[in-house]
Amino acid sequence: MTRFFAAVLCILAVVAPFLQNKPSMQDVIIAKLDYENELRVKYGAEDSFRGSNFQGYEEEYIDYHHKTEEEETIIYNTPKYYESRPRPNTCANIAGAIVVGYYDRVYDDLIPNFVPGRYIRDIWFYNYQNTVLENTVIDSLYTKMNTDAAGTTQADCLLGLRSHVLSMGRNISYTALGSGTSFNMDGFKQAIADEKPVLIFASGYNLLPLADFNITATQDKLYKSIYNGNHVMVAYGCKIVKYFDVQNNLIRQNTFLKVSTGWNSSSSGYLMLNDRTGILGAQVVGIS
Amino acid sequence: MGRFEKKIQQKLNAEKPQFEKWYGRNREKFAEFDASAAEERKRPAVAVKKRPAFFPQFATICVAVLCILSVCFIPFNGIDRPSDELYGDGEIYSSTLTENEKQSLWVNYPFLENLQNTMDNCSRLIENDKLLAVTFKGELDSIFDYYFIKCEIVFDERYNFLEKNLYINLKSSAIVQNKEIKYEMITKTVEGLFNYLIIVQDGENTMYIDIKSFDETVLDFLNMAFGPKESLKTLVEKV
Repeated sequence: MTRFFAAVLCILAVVAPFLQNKPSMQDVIIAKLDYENELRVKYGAEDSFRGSNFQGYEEEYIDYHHKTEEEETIIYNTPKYYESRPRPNTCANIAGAIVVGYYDRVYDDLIPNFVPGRYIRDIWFYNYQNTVLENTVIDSLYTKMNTDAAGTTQADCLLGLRSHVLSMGRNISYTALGSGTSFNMDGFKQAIADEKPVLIFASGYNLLPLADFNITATQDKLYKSIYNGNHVMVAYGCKIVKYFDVQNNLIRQNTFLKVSTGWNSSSSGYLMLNDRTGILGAQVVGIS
Repeated sequence: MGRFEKKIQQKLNAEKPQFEKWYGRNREKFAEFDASAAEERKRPAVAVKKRPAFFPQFATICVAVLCILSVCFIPFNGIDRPSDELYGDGEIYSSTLTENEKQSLWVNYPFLENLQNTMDNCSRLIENDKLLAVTFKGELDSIFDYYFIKCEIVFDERYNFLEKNLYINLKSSAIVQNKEIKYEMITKTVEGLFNYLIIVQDGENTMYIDIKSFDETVLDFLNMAFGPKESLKTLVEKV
């Protein structure tokens, strides 16, 4: 009897695919889930991003004979939005809103009934966030990115931002810049040159204020604020400092990304790539 | 059961020795034992063997469960932070000020009332809603310059915003209306603005000001902001 049932099942398994004429609604949903799972595997679904905790300060003095500084920044900067509700896990939503606010300067239909900024003496300045932005962008991203108490995964952040931008009638593209030691710095510089902001998914990092480092002509002082946890930020520039000794030998190179942090008070800073900072992912975001 | 298996079973049963026959042959060897003695010897043997085996296992399980529970629940029970622990920006959220709160701050810092395009916030700890600082952002259009200003009035010095360390040992100082004010330019932004930090100690509270201007000097702003209230009114151009 058992052999009979096994044989019937085998026959059904072979014949079943030929009996299907068109995909059912269930098949379509499964296919969609497969696609999203594929993206989750591609972009990483294991690590949730939910902000970070301050661990303390570290001061470092660097002595040198001479140095070079290379700095590149998107001239329009980025907006400085932040969390206005007591939610500890919304860094991905805020980062997404910053990207949307940045492109709203070009495509003002991205955030209806919101003026993103204005020119003062020929320099572009972003307006502060208001309830329109909080209700229509940050809250929308909170839902579309599946943000919960654990935060937001990298895949959900990208999928949610894409969903929001598509719902506003615009297209979005991502270009991965790698992670960890394989972070593509040349690709990052190209993104800045193309005036495209970059979503940075960091895990444990050092952040420094946007200030000159030199305290004398031959000494720099770095004020590092140390954070742990996973945090999403928006990078809009970089700074590379090379230190040389008297024989013109390169003795050290520090690489920083200029980031919008998603915080109210410390809204921007230098993310120090070559010290403690872990990059779990980086995506150039283009909206058209 | 098949026939072959039945045969094997019968053969095995046939070969099994009967206990009574075997006991009859060996009875004299067990003469020193009787049933009650055997019973007495059994009990302690059971007690000695089983209890030590059971209680250490039980205790180990209890300890393991307690350890897991304590690891799981301790972080969520809100253990008080040590008094020297610092709060970072990632742990706060910003809520807007009420009109009464604004009015009370304008009494002490009148120049705040003249800021345009303002954004004001209370910075509160997410975990217990504790007020750490008040932040005013805005612009000041004066006859001297156009200023982009961020003022932070900090009520709990354990709150550490990113630039806070830079305010220590600012190089320049000025005294305006008996207030000692320290300031220093920290950078020139990519837009070409001059970025100054200013620190003002006012009683127990400290005011941290981050200001960006088109011109290099900040002394005019200091005189306007912290000089007599009348001078501020005449110098600020209301748009």
